[in-house]
Amino acid sequence: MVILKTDSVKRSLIRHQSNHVMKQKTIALAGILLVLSAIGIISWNQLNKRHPSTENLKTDYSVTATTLLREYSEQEAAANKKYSDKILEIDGEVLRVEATDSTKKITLGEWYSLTGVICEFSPEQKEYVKKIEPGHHIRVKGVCTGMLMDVIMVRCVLMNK
Amino acid sequence: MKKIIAVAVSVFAITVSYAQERYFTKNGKVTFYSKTPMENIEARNSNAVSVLDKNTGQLEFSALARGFEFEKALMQEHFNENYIESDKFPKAVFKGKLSDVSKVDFAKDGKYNISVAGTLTIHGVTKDITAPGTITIEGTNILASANFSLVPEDFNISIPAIVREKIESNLRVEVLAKYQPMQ
Repeated sequence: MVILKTDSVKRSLIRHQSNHVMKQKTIALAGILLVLSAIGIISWNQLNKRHPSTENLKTDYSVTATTLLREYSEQEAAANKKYSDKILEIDGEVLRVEATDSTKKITLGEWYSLTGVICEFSPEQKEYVKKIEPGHHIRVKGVCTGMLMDVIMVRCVLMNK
Repeated sequence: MKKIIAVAVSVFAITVSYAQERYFTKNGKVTFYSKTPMENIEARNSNAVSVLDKNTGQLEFSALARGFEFEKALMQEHFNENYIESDKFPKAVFKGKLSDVSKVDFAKDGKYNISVAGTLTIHGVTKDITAPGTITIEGTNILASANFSLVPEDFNISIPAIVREKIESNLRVEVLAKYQPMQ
């Protein structure tokens, strides 16, 4: 009887132990799956992420349109290395306002200059850029893409609303 | 005195008429597309610069590599850092000519099928290219469009095997420009 009891105790102990191990394995597996899913979700988000709003990005350089144009006209390659793909905050006088299909393109610069800084605004900025006219002094934040005839900035937001 | 005036007037007239032969835009649109079962890619540049000489048919078109906007930020980053290498090759340039410019009557509203031929330089590699297109005359404006396809590998753009299937072997390119007289 003692033997029997020991046996059944042993058996229930073994069952308890194997249940416990099973539980541990299950928890471990669930943990691994959770981590893998998290990695999967984060990677998926990164791959599909849209451009963040320029407003929230850290400004790399704050310059006047005049200074930017001068640097580009003196040494285009050096200026490109410095400014291309960077977030710039530009202060300048509005020379020209042009409407495109979805947004506005505003050229900043000096009235006598043949070249300017073209700022292509994000469509969400529509309401803010509505009232801008030549002669206004504005501050624009955007991404510099380089220079063709003018320095071209995209994804621009108006800073002094 | 009369002679001087006559010469001055003719010089002035020639200068003015010459100037009116050139058309230009800073809002040229270049879009390229790729469609595979795995991924649809579309990138657009709305800041291309182009000059067109209506007498000779000569055409030049430039676009900044960094000016191509993709919906997905990471894809745009890969395009610039790994494929086009924008820091080394910031511009894509087309230099060429409308093959049959004489058949276009720029003075009258109308639509013409044309062909443009020249060289395209991307990623530091220059290739000959010919593309069909249309020219539409609307008053003083000239609307031009062209379509062609290109193979990234032709321009030494290497796309890693991992992503190669996500991109069409031939990318379709669409160019749109609304030219105005150069003043």
